Amino acid sequence: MTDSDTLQARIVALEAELEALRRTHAVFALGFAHDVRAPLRAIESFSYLLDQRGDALDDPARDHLRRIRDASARLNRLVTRLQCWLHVGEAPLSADDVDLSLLADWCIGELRDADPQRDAEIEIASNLRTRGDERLLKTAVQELLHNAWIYSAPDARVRIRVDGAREDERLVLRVQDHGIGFEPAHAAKLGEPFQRLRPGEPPEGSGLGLAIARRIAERHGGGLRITGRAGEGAIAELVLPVAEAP
Amino acid sequence: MSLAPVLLIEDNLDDVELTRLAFGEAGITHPLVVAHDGAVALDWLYARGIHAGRDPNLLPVLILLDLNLPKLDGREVMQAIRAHPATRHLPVVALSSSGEPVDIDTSFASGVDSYLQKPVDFARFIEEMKRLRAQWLD
Repeated sequence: MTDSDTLQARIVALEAELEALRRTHAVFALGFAHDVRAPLRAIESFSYLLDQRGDALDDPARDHLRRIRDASARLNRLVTRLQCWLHVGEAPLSADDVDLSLLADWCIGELRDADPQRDAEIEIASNLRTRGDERLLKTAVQELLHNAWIYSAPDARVRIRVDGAREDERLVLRVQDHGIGFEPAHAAKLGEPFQRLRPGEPPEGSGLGLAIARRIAERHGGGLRITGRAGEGAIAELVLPVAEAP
Repeated sequence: MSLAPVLLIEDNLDDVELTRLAFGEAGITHPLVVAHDGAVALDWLYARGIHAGRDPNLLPVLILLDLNLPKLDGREVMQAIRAHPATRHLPVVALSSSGEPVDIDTSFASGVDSYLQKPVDFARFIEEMKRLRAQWLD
């Protein structure tokens, strides 16, 4: 056996070990996300039932109950997002031509429906096409747009622009907002699971949105780049394959 | 004439209590018979084991089946129910915390008639119980 054969065998063994570790990690995380729902359901449901009898409680007890319910709602959101993060890492991938402009338009429609009072100025370039799994790509676009929406300054109009550019054999989908932005020094932290620059703000954030988008892009052979400046907004770039020529 | 019972096969005592409460809120008046594992559920259905002597002709109008059970899991219970002439036509609704497509597909493949993901939100659970009542019990 040559040195090269030995090295090749070692690489194969390490890859198998890595895959086994990855599977163990996924099974553990999926099991946890599933099993934590039963106690969460008990906390949320019994506190809801107590809340229905709120007249029987004094003010401090009502306040404590409200805190329990808020905490269980946050935990529920977190578990749901964790399940989404796990799912996008494991789900089988299809390979179809996907119109990202249409997906972005659809996602913006959902954001407007959920927040109808919010003034929003949205621009979406047409014909941004890639190749991949439409369902997962919709999730990725949804995460970027949701992020751009919720990190807009609370009292200002939401301004989001979606466009794209070709970089070699890749399509770079850009989602630019004019929201609260972030200090450029913190850019490297964004896109990692559970990284937040402002703990607890906004409350609907889970610290997993950009990580979900990044995981989906990586499964398509691409990635996620984020730049921004505090007070000026952020640009999230999803790097994806280009669609095949018609 | 008394109503036929609903058989709830569920090992989590909190979920049993929540189902009982949601039945009340949804106006379901059928008695709830609870089995805490799959083996006891089959004993009850076939009037054997610890339920020997029970009237075997009293069958449930509906079975609510948690899929993650000790001893016999939900899919094994389902196989037994569908294999037995006395119970093969009984409607069975799977209850699960999971919304994963693979779990839903596996459940339907095992022969359940419907699948209900147990919501964390109790108000939604009441709504699900109202739908269940309209579909299977009214």
